Amino acid sequence: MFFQQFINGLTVGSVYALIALGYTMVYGILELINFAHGEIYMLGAYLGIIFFGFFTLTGLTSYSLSLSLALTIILSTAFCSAYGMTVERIAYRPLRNAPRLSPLISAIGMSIFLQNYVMLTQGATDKVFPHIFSTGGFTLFGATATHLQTVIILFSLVLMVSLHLFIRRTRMGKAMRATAQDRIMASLVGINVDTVIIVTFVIGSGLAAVAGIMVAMYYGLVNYSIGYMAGIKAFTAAVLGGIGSIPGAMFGGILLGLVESLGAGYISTEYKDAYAFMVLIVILLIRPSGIFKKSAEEKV
Amino acid sequence: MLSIRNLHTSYGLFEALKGISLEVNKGEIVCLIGSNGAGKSTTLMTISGAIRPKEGDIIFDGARISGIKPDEIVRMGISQVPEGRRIFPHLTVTENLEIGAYSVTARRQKEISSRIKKILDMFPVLGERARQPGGTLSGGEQQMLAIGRALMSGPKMLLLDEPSLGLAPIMVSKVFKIIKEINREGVAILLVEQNAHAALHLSKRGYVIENGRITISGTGDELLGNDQVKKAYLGE
Ligand SMILES: Nc1ncnc2c1ncn2[C@@H]1O[C@H](COP(=O)(O)OP(=O)(O)OP(=O)(O)O)[C@@H](O)[C@H]1O
Ligand SMILES: [Mg+2]
Repeated sequence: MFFQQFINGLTVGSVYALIALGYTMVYGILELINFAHGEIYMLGAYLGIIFFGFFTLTGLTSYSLSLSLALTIILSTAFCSAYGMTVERIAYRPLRNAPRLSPLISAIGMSIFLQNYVMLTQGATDKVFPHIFSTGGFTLFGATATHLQTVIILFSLVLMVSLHLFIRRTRMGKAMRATAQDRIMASLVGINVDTVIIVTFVIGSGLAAVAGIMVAMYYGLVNYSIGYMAGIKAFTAAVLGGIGSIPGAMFGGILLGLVESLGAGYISTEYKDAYAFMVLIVILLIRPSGIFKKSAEEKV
Repeated sequence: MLSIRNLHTSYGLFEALKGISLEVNKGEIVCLIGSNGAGKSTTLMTISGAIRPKEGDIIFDGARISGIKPDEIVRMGISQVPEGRRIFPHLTVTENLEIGAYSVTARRQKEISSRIKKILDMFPVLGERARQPGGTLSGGEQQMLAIGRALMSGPKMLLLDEPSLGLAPIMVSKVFKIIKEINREGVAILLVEQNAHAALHLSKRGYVIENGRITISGTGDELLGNDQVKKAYLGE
């Protein structure tokens, strides 16, 4: 049972990690908890269903499943990035020099707005993502990792490694780190801080979109309210790892998924959501700034 | 080259600059001295575009730059070494230098490498610390790194905010020597200093700022001989 729960936890944890990255990157640069981020993830799930449905209707899915899936992911990611950019532009940028509470309230407002927007346009009932992966999988130590689980884990891993390389190696990645460390100084060396912030939202929202589509495929059901719990969990993951730290968000997400899954398997499924917060409390008591954060200052 | 006219800058309701006018000509070192809170850093930050002026003009190379964003001002050729150095603490020394060339397009990689080499010749200690996070350098080393970083954009004009602050006397004279060298290569310099004596000796001209207003101006020698300056800033 341990390995089965481990694989399940790793799957869910990868998704938490992808969402947590968006929280942590935005926090690293703006010191803002982007409450609307969970909703971007939810939008990703809906867009996934809509685009995949469209491709199935037009016959592309039966012609080539992988092409249809790839296009679904690309389009949903692009749309979610556009949503993320728009949220930044209209809800956060005008408040960039306002007291810290103002953008926070604006973020909560954005979250409520997006939930209701989806509820009104898509209805309050669950939407279904069709089963497209065969039920088989790899068997390992008596546990089974389904094809879908394998895809989710590997794809998340690829995205996280790519993000890491982007941040470490590229010119824009360096500009993002500099902006997180000292925004005014970053502008004084010639970095366009607005561009850096936009790129941060684009990347974070894109990762959330992928997470949303994968969850839609994994559970098969999507609802306008799924962004709320996922957002809280991913935020918890980001805080666990040390908010602002990218490796921290990856590690925190996976840890959270494992704890939840193993807790559900060995203790009781009833308190599945509570385990996450118990771990958070314990870790924050031992290391108040999170696992990966060296000091209160270090970000990204 | 740089011409500031009737510049007003406020923080909320508090007016920190109350109508500043000053000039820096091509190839000059000009210093700005004044007591704590007089508005020196505010002047430099307004020139760099980090703070928007409420009123007045800043003209650089014939173009009006007041109200333009800081990254564009760097691209036009003004670079700043800010108060407190503001090294990026978690970027390595090399990364701090590279980021200084952010405004130089990536295609000119050769130019960036040759600038880094030149700066490492100027400050050999930075070469020894190349892979260390900037935050682990000593104060003096950070000051050298901050100057090096500002030079990476290939500026026509350098704004220096208290470069000698917190340095041992030997380092102070070294930093002033380097400022002179940079200037000899054609970079105009606007220098803010508490160390008025050294700054005035180095500068062609100087301005005294008090409570957001320029009260005295003249050549370096004139200011060194001015009774008011002597009493208030030279401790004579
Ligand atoms: N961010 C800010 N918000 C509000 N007031 C500020 C801010 N920055 C500076 N001031 C005020 O503006 C005035 C000028 O400050 P400035 O930093 O320009 O002085 P300075 O001449 O550089 O002084 P110092 O020699 O101590 O560095 C001061 O009275 C200061 O308190
Ligand atoms: Mg100052």
